[in-house]
Amino acid sequence: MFRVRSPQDFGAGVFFMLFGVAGLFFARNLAFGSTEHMGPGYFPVLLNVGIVTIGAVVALRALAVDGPPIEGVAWRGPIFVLASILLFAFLIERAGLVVTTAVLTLVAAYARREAKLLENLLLAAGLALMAVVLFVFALRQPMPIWWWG
Amino acid sequence: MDILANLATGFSAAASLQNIGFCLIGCMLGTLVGVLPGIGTIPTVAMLLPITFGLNPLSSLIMLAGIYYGAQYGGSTTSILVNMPGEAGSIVTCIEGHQMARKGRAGAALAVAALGSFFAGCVGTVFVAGFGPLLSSIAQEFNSPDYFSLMVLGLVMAVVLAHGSLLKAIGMVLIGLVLGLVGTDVSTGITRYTFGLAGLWDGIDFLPLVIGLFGIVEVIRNLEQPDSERPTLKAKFRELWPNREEFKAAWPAALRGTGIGALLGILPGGGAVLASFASYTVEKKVAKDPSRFGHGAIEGVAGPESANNAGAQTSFIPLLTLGLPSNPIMALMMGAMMIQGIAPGAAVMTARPDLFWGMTASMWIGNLMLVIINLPLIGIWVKLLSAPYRFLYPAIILFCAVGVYSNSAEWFQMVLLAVFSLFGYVVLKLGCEPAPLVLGFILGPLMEENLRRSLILSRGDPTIFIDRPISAVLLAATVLTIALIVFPQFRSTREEAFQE
Repeated sequence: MFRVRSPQDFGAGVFFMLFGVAGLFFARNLAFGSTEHMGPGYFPVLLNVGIVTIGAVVALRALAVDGPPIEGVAWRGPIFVLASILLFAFLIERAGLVVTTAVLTLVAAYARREAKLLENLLLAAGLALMAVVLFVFALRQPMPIWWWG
Repeated sequence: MDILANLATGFSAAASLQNIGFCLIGCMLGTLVGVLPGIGTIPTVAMLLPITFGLNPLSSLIMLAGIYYGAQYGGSTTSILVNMPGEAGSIVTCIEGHQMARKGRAGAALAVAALGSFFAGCVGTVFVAGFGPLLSSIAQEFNSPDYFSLMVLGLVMAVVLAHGSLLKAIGMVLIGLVLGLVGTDVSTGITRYTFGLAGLWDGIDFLPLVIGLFGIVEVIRNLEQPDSERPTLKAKFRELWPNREEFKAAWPAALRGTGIGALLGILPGGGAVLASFASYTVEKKVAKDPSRFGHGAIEGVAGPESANNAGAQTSFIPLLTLGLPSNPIMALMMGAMMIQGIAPGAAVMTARPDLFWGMTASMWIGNLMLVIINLPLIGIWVKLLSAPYRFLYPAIILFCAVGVYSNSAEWFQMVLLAVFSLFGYVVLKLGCEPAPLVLGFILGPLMEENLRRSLILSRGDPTIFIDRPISAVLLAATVLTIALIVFPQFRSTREEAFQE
């Protein structure tokens, strides 16, 4: 049997292959055309075949050559950061900039295990104030300040 | 004397009170964000990109260029004072600059970096003014096959000069090209990879992609380091100016650095990062006493910092004349230009000379401003440096989110931002660089269009790419580049260069 000697590269290779296969799959209904008249599917298919090939080479090489492991993934960071962005998307038109900024700050702050509530409440209030002054008053971005507009 | 007349046009366009104002604001903002620890040049430019969109094209590009120079300068300040390189380009400055700072020569290092950069900026501006029209007149001869080959060469060189695995960099370029094709195919009107989402009909928006890949991913990555590992300010300030010996050692290095940077900046795939590495290596080679390097040799600050800035300047040449972004920053600039409705390339110089020359002139103005605002304001930047990251990063996320949202006012773009942040985090863990992806993303539709046109011209015969002399030369250069990497001796030099 084989052994993965370079987990990071192996992962990258598999990732490329998945991306390429998905790219080919979703291009299946696009006309390929001919070399003279390239259809909408021509270039995507060409590129995705390239991606799958590269992925295969990278993955196979990872079986033969030693390389770095995949660093430990601390999911806390990405989860809280991404949640804060998605909450911003959901809230901005419903709750206005002040509430949205405060929520984003508080959620983002818990991306760190050591977050302190009081400190972050103060930070949230400060950033909400700054956001309104900077984005709405100074830069005149079209964003509601409160939920009533 | 054409150059002088042209520069006069440029200065009259750029030197309006309004444009000087935007240049100043850009430089200030760029420095302000660039100086914050853990935010490199690319994230800074990506984050501040949205605020330039409301302006007219020239003002917006002038401001953006100001942001770029400011971010670079801010990055050097951080490198020197806290030994925390925001990105690859300032790693070199960290090595010598921070050693100088520890010996109480932080002021001298900062001053030399500023003055060297200013000198390099002046020379770089002249370079752009001189080479720009020349390259642009060559570019007038370019046809679709030549453009296609040029883009192939540009992408290959960008891959060769990226760090880490070549194969993975090629993979990332290809993924970028595919992402660039999402949306409506211009010549057939058929939508591709839109998954029925109306938000994707016009293609993936540039902002969520770059802000996610560079801004948000940077935050997540910084959060993974425990607090204690984050550096603190160790520098001591005694005096701000370099003494006589330091000055004597610094100026020849700045001259050499400027030359190296100006030349390397023009190369596709080159730019500031490559220039600063090359200059450091040269300084080490020509030094009478190389053992001083690593312990605070001032040449190691003056050379790379000048090279850095000269390269930053001249990397605008391929963008403005050929429409080829040579590095991720130029890809950001190109994206900004396209959002403004300007197609970068040879046509800019003939159709909008005020834009080309105005930008060239603003480069010089921007560099002058950096010296004027930064030397006196160093005290303020130092204070900013000590801002704890736990207060900074929620503000960074807020800026990224507002930037993406206010540009489109669509929540769908925010979802894309989250998607690309996650994507960027995954590829980071897999040891892939996002920079080649962005180049591919920008060039994807252009490459397809030029390939399609070439093959229509030749009735489907691919030999058109070697029949046309310009295209043949470009492809030969591409093959040569690839051959050089496969050739083991060069390969080891490349690895050595990145290790240093």
